[in-house]
Amino acid sequence: MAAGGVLSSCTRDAGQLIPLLIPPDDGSVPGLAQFYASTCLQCPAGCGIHVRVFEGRAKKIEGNPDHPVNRGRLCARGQAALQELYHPDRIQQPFGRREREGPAEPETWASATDRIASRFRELSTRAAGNVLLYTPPLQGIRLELFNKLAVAVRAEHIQDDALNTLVHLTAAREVVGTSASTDYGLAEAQFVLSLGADILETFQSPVRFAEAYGRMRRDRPTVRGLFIYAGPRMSQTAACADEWLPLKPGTEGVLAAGIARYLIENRLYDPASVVAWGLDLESQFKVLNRFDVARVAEMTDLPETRVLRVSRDFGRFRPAVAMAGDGPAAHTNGLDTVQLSHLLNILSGAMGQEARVDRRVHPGSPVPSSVTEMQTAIRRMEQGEILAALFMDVNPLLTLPASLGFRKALAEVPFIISLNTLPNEMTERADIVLPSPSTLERFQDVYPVVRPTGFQLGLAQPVVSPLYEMPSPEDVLIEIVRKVTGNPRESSHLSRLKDRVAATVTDPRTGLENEKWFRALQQGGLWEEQDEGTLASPIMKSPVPAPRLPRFSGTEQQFPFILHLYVSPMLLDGRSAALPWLQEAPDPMTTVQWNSWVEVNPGTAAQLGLVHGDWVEVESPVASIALPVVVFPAIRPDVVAIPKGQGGERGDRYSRGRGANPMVLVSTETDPENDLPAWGATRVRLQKVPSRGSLITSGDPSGSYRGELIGL
Amino acid sequence: MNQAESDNAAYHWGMVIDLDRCTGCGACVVACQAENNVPTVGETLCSQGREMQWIRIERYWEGQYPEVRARFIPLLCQHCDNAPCEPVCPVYASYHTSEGLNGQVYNRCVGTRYCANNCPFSARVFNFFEPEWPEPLNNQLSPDLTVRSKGVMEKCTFCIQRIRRGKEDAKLEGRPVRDEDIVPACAQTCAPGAIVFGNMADPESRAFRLARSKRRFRLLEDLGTEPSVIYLKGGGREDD
Amino acid sequence: MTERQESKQSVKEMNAAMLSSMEAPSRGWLVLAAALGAVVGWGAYAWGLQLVNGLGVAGINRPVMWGFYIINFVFWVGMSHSGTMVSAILRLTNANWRRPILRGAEAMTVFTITVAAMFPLIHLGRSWKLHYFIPFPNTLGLWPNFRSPLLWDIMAINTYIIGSSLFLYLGMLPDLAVVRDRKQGLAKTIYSILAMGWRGTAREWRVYHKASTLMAALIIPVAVSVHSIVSWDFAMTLVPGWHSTIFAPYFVIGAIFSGIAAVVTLILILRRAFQLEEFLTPGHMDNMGKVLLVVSLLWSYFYFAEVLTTWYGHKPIEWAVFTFTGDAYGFLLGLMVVGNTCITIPALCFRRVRRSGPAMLFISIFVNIGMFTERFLIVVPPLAHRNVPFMWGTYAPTWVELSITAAAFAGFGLLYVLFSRFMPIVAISDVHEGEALRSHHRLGRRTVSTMTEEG
Ligand SMILES: Nc1nc2c(c(=O)[nH]1)N[C@H]1C(S)=C(S)[C@@H](COP(=O)(O)OP(=O)(O)OC[C@H]3O[C@@H](n4cnc5c(=O)[nH]c(N)nc54)[C@H](O)[C@@H]3O)O[C@H]1N2
Ligand code: SF4
Ligand code: SF4
Ligand code: SF4
Ligand code: SF4
Ligand code: SF4
Repeated sequence: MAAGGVLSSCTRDAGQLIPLLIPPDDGSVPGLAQFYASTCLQCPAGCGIHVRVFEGRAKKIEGNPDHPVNRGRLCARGQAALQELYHPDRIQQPFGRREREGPAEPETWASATDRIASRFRELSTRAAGNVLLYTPPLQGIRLELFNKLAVAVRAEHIQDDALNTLVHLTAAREVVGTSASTDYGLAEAQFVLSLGADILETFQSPVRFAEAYGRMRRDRPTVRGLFIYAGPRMSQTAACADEWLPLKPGTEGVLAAGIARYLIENRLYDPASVVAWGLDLESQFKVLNRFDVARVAEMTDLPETRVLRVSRDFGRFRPAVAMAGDGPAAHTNGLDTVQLSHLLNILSGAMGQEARVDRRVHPGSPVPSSVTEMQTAIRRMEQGEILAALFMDVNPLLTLPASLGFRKALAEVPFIISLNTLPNEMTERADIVLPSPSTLERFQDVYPVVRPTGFQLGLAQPVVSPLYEMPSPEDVLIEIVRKVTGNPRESSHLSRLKDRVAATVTDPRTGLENEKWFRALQQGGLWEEQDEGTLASPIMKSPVPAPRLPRFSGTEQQFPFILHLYVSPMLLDGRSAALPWLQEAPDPMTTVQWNSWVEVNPGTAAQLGLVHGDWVEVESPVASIALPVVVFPAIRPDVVAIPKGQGGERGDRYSRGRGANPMVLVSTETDPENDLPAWGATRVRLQKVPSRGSLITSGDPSGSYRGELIGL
Repeated sequence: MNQAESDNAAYHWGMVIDLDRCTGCGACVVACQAENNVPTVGETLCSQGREMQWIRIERYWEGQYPEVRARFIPLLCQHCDNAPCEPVCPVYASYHTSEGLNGQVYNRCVGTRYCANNCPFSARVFNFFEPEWPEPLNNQLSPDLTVRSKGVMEKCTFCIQRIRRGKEDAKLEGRPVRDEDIVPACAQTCAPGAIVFGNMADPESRAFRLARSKRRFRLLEDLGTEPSVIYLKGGGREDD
Repeated sequence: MTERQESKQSVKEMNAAMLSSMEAPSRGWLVLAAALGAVVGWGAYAWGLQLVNGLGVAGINRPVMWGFYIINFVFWVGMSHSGTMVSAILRLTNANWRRPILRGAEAMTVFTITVAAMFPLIHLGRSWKLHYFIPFPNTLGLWPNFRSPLLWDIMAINTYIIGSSLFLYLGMLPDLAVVRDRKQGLAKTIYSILAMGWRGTAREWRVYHKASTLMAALIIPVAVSVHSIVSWDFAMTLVPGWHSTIFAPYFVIGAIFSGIAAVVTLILILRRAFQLEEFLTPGHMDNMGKVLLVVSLLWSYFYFAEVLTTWYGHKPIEWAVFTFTGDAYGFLLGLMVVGNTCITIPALCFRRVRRSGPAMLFISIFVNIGMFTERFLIVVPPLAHRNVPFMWGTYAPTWVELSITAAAFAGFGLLYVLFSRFMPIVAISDVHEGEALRSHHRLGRRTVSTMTEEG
């Protein structure tokens, strides 16, 4: 039967085709797919990608097998980046608004940049700090250009850390003296303890960690690494663990302290590591002495046997790695927890081995703004001190706690510029809207948040000729800087990029600079095959302090539940919500599609008379939202969980008006001693309300409990 | 067996899915959609059970809080050797290839949906409406395979276009197909390496060797459909 | 054939009474036909919408890929067992009381099976590709798949349509001749053609009787096979709740059950509509009621046997389907059992009930509500709860399916209304024959009618 031919008729025998008389200028060969190496920019992990391009159209994104971050693998978000390129609602040209929220009128690039430059120049001559630049934490050329612009117009630059890496950077600096993310070599570990680190879904470099996780489980013939997860809600990562420890929110540090104490008391630590890192065991023990097993069990609300077992196992198995994630980091004691996780790694001997903190200096390391800086900036906006603000690739109206007052403050800024690929809350309010090319249409130097040793830089490059003609954000900034300073000789983005590539550590195998550039283009970045080895000069601040108890906004009587917010595995903090593949992909744990929800323990639900799909008003001390209920068997009874990512009001057609944004519930608790945000420290109550719509799950709620019928 | 079939008897495509590696991340779901021109249908149709994804991650709950477990199992067409979806199709749109695939001829399908009823794995999806790709999303559509129209049944093909490409490339280079030549989109993207695809007729292939694991099982094996997808049991503490 | 003078009425009178429905259409008839036509038109619109937009306008989904169209299909095929089969059995067993109802029942078969045959077509995702089912030599060198029960279905249904149409037509030949003789002009020409030159000679009658008996004998296995095959659409699958050896006889009994109930309903309506009380007497109702009672007992027995084995075996997935049916469709389950068993069996034990028109009308209609529900319960719950629990679901029809269902009932009614207008709805010659075989004897002061058996 010839039916197979119906399904696929692609042949790659280009030799028989008549060659093009006039070859197309995008270098495409009809009938033949080409692959371009680039870097995924959907999250800060910076995975390497290969984009399959067919007759000038990007068809499929695949992992770059040679890329040291992700070794050829990709997450769902990375796969879906194509839909950003071809999104039907992309902003195609600059727009201007005569009045706030008024109709957007097309504008030319020249006039838009002219208006911005002249306004900036005029404001900066009046006083310093009239202009606000608001971006995610930046690195490389982008940081360099924003610094330049900030200097030129005497602006303040806020680097909004929506994914909350600041706690991790601070903890690393405090304990081992370097501000960098930790790379966990899970593949070699025999025992992994995650303190709320969702390494397989959203934490820092999920594809890298998940790839290593697979090897940890099943690549070694005789060893299957054990994985224990502690956290108040079973995340997708926790679901993969051998054991889930449902402890009280914010007591992850207590558990870590208990384990550390147990290790020291029972001499289950690695003496060489303790010496190498200069850890003073005696004083450390004193600091943690209170945290014996019984007390830890009581404070964490875990059975003693389980605390004991995880402590013993952490001492018994080698290598053993501990990591603390974004959930615990978002409590008022978040810094303690992350620091204690580092202490555990030093005790187990994993620090510098399986837990590698990158100590090399990278061009323009990220410096997220502190809470005080953010609050000050918002206050200044509100008081009318900020006269112009430029927002790039951010959506603080969605991702900041509403209680910070950003929305109100924004209304006081007379001149708002927004640079983005897709429409969102900010572009809908901006006075000037500048489009940016999608991540598959532009050059960018990328510095993955977790960098394998030997990694130099990642390179994103255009893989198709742009769908709509527009300069890269870098070139827009350069243009503005040129116009503000009147210096026409600012070099272009591309030449800066080439310089940067040329300036990377010389690889012994390459001679010519140009060759390095082409290699970077071919590989999607530069890295050395050679592992750099262990870290130099270990020093630490000893002892690591004991964990403080978490504080919460709202009293337990009035607000019986702790609100557990988490980053959606599919939509992240909302930055991927515009992509229909991700909206339609079921959430791994609840299998909900196209919506958001609140997760409630079955016992709690029964008490409140709630069933799957009922609607509740979730009320915090500062605000309330209505959401449908998912009765979730793997969450503490005193905790309710809501994913971030939905609730955009003004964006594109796929995300607009979908679900609710839980960030409006968050009270602005902080860790004032360390100037860190604590946006997981809010209590809430639930009130049943009439249904406002249906809740869609891809899995049948009752069938989901009948795995035994298929032998699971 | 005709000439073409005896030429092909060297291949029997199969897949091994290691549940101890699978993290339930859903990357395979999106990768498959991207590779195979699988449309999204939107919220309303999802609520009516009209999703089109060819692979899904099923999540089962076991036990009660706090001793509760979630289990993930990726489910796609099992390419049953004794496929119940095939004999019931009145027009041979669902048929068996000589390489052990359950093929689906979209042009032939009249949309009786009988095959979908008889697939015990609920692996088949039906085009209840004409699929839509609002411009310019349609630029992403792969030219390697068709876009199916309303009224037609579809399902995982084991990325047949990649199988053909792999075989053609090997032929051009005058060599047999190597184990790593053919990787379906889902397997390619799977970060923990849970999915291994390969030629089960080749004892040297990785899939063949993994399929001999003590942890092996097949879904609904008692129905006798002889699935070509072999699962490896997920872990759990061995000292428990 | 000779006519005896003992007949209560003259031949002419009888003919006139029996052909009264073919008189000029009354206002009522026109209104009825127009109303039914409107409903059919609405259904056609709904179907058109489905053809243009796709099957998504119906309620089917994954996992319930079959819904109201298949339910209707099974239901209407079941109804079709009324006529031909009943008539054939009665003919073969020489039940003399059959005579006035034969034509109505046989016509009913043809119309119900015609309606039934529409449903697979409506059900298809690509109705315009129907010809792929037909075995004809083609450039693809492809035949349809003879292993598929759906193909058996197509063939069985076609055979049944042809067979039952012939059966109906054959029986009508002498009556068409009667009509021909009463008509003038164009109508006469048409009926002349239809009557195929019937003159009523002895040879013709002899051949006619032979042919009728033969057809009756042949149509019974066809009818049995048709509903067996319909049952195999389900039983041949791996679907828990469908895959059952009892399905073929169970379906056949179910079909006869709903068929006979439908005949009863129809007779009661015809009797009233065409003032045929003379020919369709309480005695007939009594007989039909007894048959219905027997079939109801049989159906209940089959259902009990099916449920018992499921319950006793307690195979997890089958039991999951069963409990789901109870939980989600408990009302329908109750409705079915009440309609098919709990009311029918006790009530039909009473002669007074069997002889009461209103009671019989109520029971017969209730049986078919029960049987429609039964078809729903056979098709939907097993699909909704198939082997993989994660993909469990539910189903409810949309307005499109409901409209098309309504159109099916209206279409059946319309065909019947047209038929009764243009064709002899009562088997005239058969009734005459019966009258001829009946003689009245005086016994004291009473007149007793006796029947002579046919040779
Ligand atoms: N319905 C209908 N069908 C017809 C006809 C009709 O009148 N009606 N007319 C018929 C006739 S007369 C003809 S000639 C054919 C024409 O049919 P085709 O030969 O298919 O002509 P075009 O549609 O012009 O497609 C030419 C393709 O070549 C590409 N191309 C352009 N320049 C070059 C080059 O330098 N090298 C190569 N390799 N490719 C290039 C273009 O991008 C385009 O994709 O159509 C025939 N088919
Ligand atoms: S982890 Fe981040 S960078 Fe890597 S593929 Fe996913 S979205 Fe892209
Ligand atoms: S991509 Fe791999 S790990 Fe993720 S759900 Fe699919 S099979 Fe499981
Ligand atoms: S899994 Fe279902 S669709 Fe696939 S071959 Fe088996 S029966 Fe057919
Ligand atoms: S839906 Fe298509 S493939 Fe399935 S049985 Fe019907 S015709 Fe065959
Ligand atoms: S093998 Fe290919 S078609 Fe099948 S699920 Fe995987 S990606 Fe989809």
